[in-house]
Amino acid sequence: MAYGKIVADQIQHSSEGTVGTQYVVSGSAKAWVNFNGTGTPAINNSNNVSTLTDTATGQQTFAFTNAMNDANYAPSGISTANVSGDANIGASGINNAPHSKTTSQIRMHIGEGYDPADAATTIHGDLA
Amino acid sequence: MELKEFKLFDRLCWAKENLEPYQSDYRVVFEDNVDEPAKVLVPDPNWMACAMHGGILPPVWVYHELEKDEKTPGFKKHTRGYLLHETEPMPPMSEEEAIEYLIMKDIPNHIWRTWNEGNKPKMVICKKEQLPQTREWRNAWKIDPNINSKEAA
Repeated sequence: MAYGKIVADQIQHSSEGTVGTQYVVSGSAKAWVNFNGTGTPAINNSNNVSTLTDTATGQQTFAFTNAMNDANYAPSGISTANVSGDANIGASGINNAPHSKTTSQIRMHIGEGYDPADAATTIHGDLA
Repeated sequence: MELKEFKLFDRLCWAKENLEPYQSDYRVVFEDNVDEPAKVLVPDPNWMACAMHGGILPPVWVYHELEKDEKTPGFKKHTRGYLLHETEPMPPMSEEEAIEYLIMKDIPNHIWRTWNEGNKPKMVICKKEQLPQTREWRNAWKIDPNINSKEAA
């Protein structure tokens, strides 16, 4: 099987203009995961994640396959609400225990106080 | 170019496009902090596909080296990220070998290095069907002190 590589500094759309590839590289999510946190958690889809650890109710730890370059990356998370029919979206946050956010793992609260049926997190930042 | 000549993230993106995700039934339950419930480690299906395909993932010692760097006082950012990209990737692993790799990668080493020391095992590999399904149980979880540690291994 052959693996190709195109080296380019810019990508041009036929009518919508040009964008520098550095914008694309820098702005792309470096890791993401969608999971079902109820019962025994299961990962539905992902990229650059090796494991999800069910840490406690509404708390998950995600480990990266390609570590981040430093711990100053930007995580975000979202989940279905706790109550069926509730229009609110579950909030997310980073656990404040020591070592909750390293270059290789992050412990988050996605669905504070409950296990969401449909939840996701995305990581932006620089890869190691 | 061969796959191993690409950076790790590019190899992962290739795998995502070309390999079928593998949902493992294995789970790893471990106790880290006596004040917290037991934790359950769930393997990622795309990662499992990479492990079983071979030629994508670096050896686990690479992660230990990076962890060592990060624990160095004054650490700001990685300077040996090339280890992830340039170290000869692992050959194909069996499902069980992949789980062992994940234990060494993602569970604190003070747990897996001494999992069977002390009064009872701190870590158990099991199938997901063996786990309680409700959170009421989960928050009360402790690893059974009567577990046969030879079976658990």
